[in-house]
Amino acid sequence: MIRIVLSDAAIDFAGEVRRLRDLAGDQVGALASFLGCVRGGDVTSLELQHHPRMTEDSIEKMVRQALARWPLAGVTVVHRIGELKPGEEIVLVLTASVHRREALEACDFLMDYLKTEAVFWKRERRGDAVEWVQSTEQDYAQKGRWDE
Amino acid sequence: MGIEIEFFASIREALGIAVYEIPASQVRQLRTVRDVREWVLATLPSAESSGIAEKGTRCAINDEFVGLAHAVQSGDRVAFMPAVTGG
Repeated sequence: MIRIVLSDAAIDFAGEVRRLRDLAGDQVGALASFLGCVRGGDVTSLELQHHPRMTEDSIEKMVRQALARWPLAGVTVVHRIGELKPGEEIVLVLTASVHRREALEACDFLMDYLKTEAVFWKRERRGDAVEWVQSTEQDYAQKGRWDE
Repeated sequence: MGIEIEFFASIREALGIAVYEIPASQVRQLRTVRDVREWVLATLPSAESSGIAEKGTRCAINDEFVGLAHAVQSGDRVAFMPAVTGG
């Protein structure tokens, strides 16, 4: 029901969708997805660092919160770690439910929580310059929507 | 036993070390995570500018997030990490 993957390999979108559909069963009428990609522009690469023990736990905790709020048949979170190039896929969230609203809302919720609670740190490289990415007030405001 | 301190991301980079051990002989004078942070600030060069004392920095004991007032004891693993930026 819960699948969490941290990997330095490319995200297999079609394979993950198929796996969740098989796992969730034939009562599922909706599967929502969010696929995040590394933005281009002047960024030449993005490094994702994580905590060897706390990162997966932090994701599982937010998935369990989603399961407590919506009747979901299954959740998949795949997050890349290591070095990524612009255009590469960095995160995939899949949620499955009987009706679409629950799947869509839970997917949105999980992305807001991933941005502010999952234990990752990003470092952008622009040519020779390297800079740690800071979370924004907008990220926290988006997450705050779920507390209202 | 001492206290093992782990640093992550920008704090690790600024300090130039990932793990540091407070020897058992000095653990008795450290009662809270705040005391451990003060010990780091007083002991490690470049700790002041590492971001360890910044508002958004998070602390953990034995892989559980805690506040600065949380008690520490011999054998604990204390971690300092900057605000997270996932997704």
